[in-house]
Amino acid sequence: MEHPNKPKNSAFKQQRLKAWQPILTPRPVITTFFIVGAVFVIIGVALTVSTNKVKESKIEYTDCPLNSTCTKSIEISDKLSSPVYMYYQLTNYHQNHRRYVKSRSDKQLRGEKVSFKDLEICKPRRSLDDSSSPDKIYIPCGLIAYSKFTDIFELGDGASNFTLSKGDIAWNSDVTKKFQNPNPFPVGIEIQRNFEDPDFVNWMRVAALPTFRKLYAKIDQDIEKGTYNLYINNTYEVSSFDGTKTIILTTTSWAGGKNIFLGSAYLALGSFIIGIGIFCLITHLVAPRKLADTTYLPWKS
Amino acid sequence: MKCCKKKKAVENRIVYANNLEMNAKFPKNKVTNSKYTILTFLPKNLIEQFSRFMNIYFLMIACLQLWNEITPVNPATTWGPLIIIILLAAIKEGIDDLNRHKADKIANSREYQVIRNGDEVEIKSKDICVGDIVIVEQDEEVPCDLVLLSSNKEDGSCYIQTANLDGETDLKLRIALEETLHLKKPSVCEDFKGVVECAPPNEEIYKFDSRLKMDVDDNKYLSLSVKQLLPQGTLIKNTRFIYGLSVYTGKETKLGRNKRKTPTKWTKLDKSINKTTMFIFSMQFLLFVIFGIVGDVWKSKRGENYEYLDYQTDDEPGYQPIIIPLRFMLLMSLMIPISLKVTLDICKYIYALFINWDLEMWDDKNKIAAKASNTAIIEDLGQIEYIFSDKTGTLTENQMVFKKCSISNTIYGHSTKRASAYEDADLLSAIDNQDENAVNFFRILALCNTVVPIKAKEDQIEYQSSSPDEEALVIAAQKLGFVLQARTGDIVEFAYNDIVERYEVVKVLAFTSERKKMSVLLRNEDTKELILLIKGADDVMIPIMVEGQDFKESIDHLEVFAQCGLRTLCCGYRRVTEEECKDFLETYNMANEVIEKREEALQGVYHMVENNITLSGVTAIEDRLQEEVPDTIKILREAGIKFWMLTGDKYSTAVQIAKFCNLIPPNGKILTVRGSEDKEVGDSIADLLKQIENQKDDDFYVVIEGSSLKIALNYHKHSFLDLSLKASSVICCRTTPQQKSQVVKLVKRIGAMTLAIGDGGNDVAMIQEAHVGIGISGREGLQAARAADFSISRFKFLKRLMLVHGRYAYYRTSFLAQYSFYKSIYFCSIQVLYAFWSGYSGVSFFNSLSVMTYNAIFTSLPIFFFLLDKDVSEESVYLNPHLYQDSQKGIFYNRRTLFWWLMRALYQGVILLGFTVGIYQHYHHHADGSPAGYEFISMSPFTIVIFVQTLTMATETRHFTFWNHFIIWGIMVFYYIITVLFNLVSTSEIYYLVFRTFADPVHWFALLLISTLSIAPVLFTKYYMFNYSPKRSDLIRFREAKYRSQGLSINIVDADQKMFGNKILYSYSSTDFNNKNIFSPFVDCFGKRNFNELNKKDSISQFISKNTLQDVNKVEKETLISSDHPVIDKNGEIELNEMNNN
Repeated sequence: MEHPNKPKNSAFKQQRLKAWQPILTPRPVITTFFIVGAVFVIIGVALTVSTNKVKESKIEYTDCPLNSTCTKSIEISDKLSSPVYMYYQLTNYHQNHRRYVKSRSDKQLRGEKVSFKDLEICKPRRSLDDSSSPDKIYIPCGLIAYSKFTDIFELGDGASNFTLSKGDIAWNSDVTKKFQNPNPFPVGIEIQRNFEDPDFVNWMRVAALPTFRKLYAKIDQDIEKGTYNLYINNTYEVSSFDGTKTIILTTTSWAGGKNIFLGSAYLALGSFIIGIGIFCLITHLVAPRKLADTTYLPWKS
Repeated sequence: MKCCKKKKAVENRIVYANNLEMNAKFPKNKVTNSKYTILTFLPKNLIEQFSRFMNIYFLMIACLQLWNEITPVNPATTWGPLIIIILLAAIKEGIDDLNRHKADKIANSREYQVIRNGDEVEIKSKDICVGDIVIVEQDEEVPCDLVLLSSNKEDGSCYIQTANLDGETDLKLRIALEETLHLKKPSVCEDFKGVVECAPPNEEIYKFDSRLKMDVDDNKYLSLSVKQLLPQGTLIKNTRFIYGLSVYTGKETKLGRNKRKTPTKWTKLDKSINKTTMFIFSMQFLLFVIFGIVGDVWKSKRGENYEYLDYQTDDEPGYQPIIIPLRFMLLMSLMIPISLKVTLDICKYIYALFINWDLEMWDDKNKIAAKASNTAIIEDLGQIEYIFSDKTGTLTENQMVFKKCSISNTIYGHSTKRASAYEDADLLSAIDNQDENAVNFFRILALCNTVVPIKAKEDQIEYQSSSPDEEALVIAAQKLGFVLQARTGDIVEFAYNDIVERYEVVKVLAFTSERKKMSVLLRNEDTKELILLIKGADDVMIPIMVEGQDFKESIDHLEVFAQCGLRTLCCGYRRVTEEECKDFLETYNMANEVIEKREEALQGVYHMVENNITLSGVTAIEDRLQEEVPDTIKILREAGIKFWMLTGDKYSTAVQIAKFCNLIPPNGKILTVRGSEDKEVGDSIADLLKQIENQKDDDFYVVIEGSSLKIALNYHKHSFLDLSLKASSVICCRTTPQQKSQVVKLVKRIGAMTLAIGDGGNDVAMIQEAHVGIGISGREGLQAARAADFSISRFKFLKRLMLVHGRYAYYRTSFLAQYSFYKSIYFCSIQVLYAFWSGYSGVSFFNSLSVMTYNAIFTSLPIFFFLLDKDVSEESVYLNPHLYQDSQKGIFYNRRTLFWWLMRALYQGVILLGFTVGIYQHYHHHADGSPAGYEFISMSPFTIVIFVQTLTMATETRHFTFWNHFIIWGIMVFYYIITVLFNLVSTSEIYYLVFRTFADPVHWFALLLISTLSIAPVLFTKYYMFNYSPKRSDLIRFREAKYRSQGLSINIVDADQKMFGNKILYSYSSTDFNNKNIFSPFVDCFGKRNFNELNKKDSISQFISKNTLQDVNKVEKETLISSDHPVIDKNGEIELNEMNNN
């Protein structure tokens, strides 16, 4: 009969749980370094090869006169095979600014009925002069919607224009759930009539970095090598923040756009790890550390 | 005149006996230790909690987060954890208070007899009023402060034990005024209308200056002193009942006024953690000021011109400039982990459970388990530098066995140390021959005591005594045929050889620790002869010996006994004439009436009869060492801990016991501080200091006696400390409880971590003074155990408590705390660095869900299972006690380790954000052409953050149990489940995002790249340090791994080294110290070649010098010698030959 006060003899209570106690011995560590390094180099090569297949052309049009139509010629040096993506790129534009990024009402954008108080978050663009009268409210409210991108582009080879498809440039999840037209359309100052407009939806999905691209259109045909005309209805002001505007035409790979950084990083890190591996190997060979040399164990002598 | 009187009445308390109306203004005797009632709990507890700096800080952060304009994330990120933390603390407080309520209820509902209207009425303790006459019986607790009116004894005396009040266990005498002695019956008491005038309630336990008049109209005042006071909480002893008048009740009693909150002890590690917190706090302050200013400048130079930011429409409230700094402050508030304190508290609680659960600290004989009463300071067990130990009952069994004696200059029980007088044929024949000296001697042993014989069964007598020494002597006498048969009233019965002698006990001159002796005055019933029997310590007995007696030889024998580590007493007797006795009793009674300095007066009276003593013989009692004491002390000292012994025993006994338990090697150099005057002691210390100056390398041991210690502590603190700290060990003998605690205090002054261990009430002061107090739940009651932070039942468990539990606790908490800081800074650095890309606007990089779950779940859950981690196995710590220095010297948590954790956090933070930006720049878009948005760019890296944390836990864990695997890898799975669930909610800001993220191959490549880049340098550094600049514990890990890989196990068994097939069982007996491999892992890890290299390393050089083979052999030799016992020949000489042969 055990005494009632006697502690239980369980592995947990006696801190005797079975355990794996790894130690960093040279052989597995050095082997791991070499394997990881090699894998990284291979990935790096693969990424570089695939990103090099992505062809890209761009043209900056910041210098176009404001509030007018402007034509720029764009040089396509390599054939762009379908589908071709057309982006506009802005620089020095902090869509992620604390003041900017919060200034939207998701509830309103979902087409739900909102009160004036709900829109508090939209400040400073809640309503004209922040007045609570319903007809002064911005539809939709907030800085993001208020500053939406307004330039319009056409691309052609002089004879005919390409079809710029807007079909699935916005996320399906956005168009079906996050952006819904209110019914009926409320009174107020109209900023955007169609909440489900893919250009608007893309603008509202803010960028995380001050230089960013937004998908403008998809072109479902190959664009051969040559010079093309870009027609711009230039209305969007960027001079206040010293920004630039650029149009990009690009193809894509399984890993997305042209991203030299990733492949190079893999190559560099892979080689570096192999370098460490070699260093460890040499130190190990020059000054070996034998694990608990048995000749000194007492029962051997 | 009138006004003055009135004023006095306000100051002093006037108690009218038996008058409820007049005393109605005083509170009833209700004890309340509880802090809260149901109503006050919430407000009081909240105020208490929010008086802590960190809680106020987090509350402020949480409140600021409610301000929409500045909060970077959802306020729930702080409110959630804060509320949980406050709630947990409140629940804990609530449970504690509930227990206090229960204890109060028990104390309040204890029943006492009180005189009301001439009857004895049984009422509850809480209903006792001031002015009530209370009857308290033997062994009952005094319910409130009483003035002793009478007792069952004629002289109105009674004994109390004040352990609850001041921790002292000896009995104290209280004596009633003669005028009140008649108040012994309820009917008499009813008419008593006395008035007591006393001071208002105060804390002073030893002061009760007040006066009594026997009647309201009486003008004559009788003075009352502390001699009549029975304070609340004391126990009535050796007295059948007492009558007392209650004067202070409830909270106003001496005990009540002395109750103080036990001060919260902070561990050394806690203090370091607090310092780190303050450092991070100031770093954070600096950063948010800098970023705030940069943000404001950016805003005015740039942001305000940017049309899309629309600053023009603002009407510029005055507080605008502080908004950005405040945003950064909120963003950085995460830098101090909010859950740290709760996490650590929970962990400490679990360490305590591990101690309570430990079977290896289970005492199967006494059925006592170890207990951690103070869960807050377990890490301190791992950082102890000095141990102060009591001797009796701590190192020894406190089971006294009569071993030897010397009667009229003949030593009995000679030959060896182990030999017992019982087996000495000479003694037996002397008794058979009715040798008068022998009979006298054993008569003293049997009668000179207060032992009570109880007839258990027929012819079987059991002895009850509060003193183990007295019991041992009575039992010894009984064994040799001199039986103390009965004690009824004042009559004692003594029998030997069928002769029965009956004595009347005329007076017991009680033992006190100051007197160091006790005597009984007896009258033979038949012959009416009077005799005084006395026993006491040699130093007080020698001065009162009769002149002309040659007792030198006896005293020499006594010295021999003491050198064998035995406890010695001198026994003597004196015939007293009838006149002398009459004189004595008269003077005694007179002295007893003295109000002031009664104790001193009594001393003088005692001396009337306690002189001209004829020495009858010397007794030697053995108090055996507890098992494994030498080994335990040896391990603790090898662990780098200084071990001091503080005992009440005499010099020679203390030194000999110190030798037996390995504290002093037999040929160890003992330096004794001597002197009983200021100058003498000072010179003695200066001499010794000079002496050791000349021979620097030698170990030496300082011994000091209580009388010299007192002077040293008062006048020569510095030089004494100087000498003591250089000594290998210090032994203080004949110390009082107060001195013990002063010694501890002295060592604390140099900033050393101290631990005191003891078993008795006289150790309580020292236990409370030390950083860590340990009580042995032994034979002297539970006081020490109750006052202590930890209690164990055997001394040998101390090594496990410190070396295993203490070290692991320190190791684990060090990691937990540093990891908590690291993961917070890591996360925060990413958040803050993002400011460079977001216009210094103080926006959060991660979304609210991530911020909340990161701290509350993904990083706080896995660390709990680090509680199971071990850097080396328990066996290895025993085999290599020097591993204790890892925790003692704090190598797991110091500025250097903190610095590297900080660097790791910053490096990984920069890498994460830098590479995220690099990979996901404008050129990145998903395969379907849509560019990477803000939500994507914060979710993908958050997944990587979780990966990095998981891998960090995996690289830091050294002991993967099932639970570690479960939580480390399980948390990843859990992360994906939670994320997917939240992404299915269509109103959430991250709706559907995760599926896009996981569909993007670049996310996975980024994950692999950044995680590898974050962890690889850590792994490489670990590998390199582990192999080329190993710590103590690393080397031991190597060895363990080696054994494991060969299928060997490193068990500790008690027998000598055994070999079973391919299983080696190591023994941990002293002979095993030959095993160089136990002490020198360097040898078997790297071979001799690397010795010198390793020697350069600071942490390791000490270890090497401590453990070179030569040293090990020395230790070995010493062990052998000290475990062998000296031989005593018939003349009482110790033969040293055998020792020298060794």
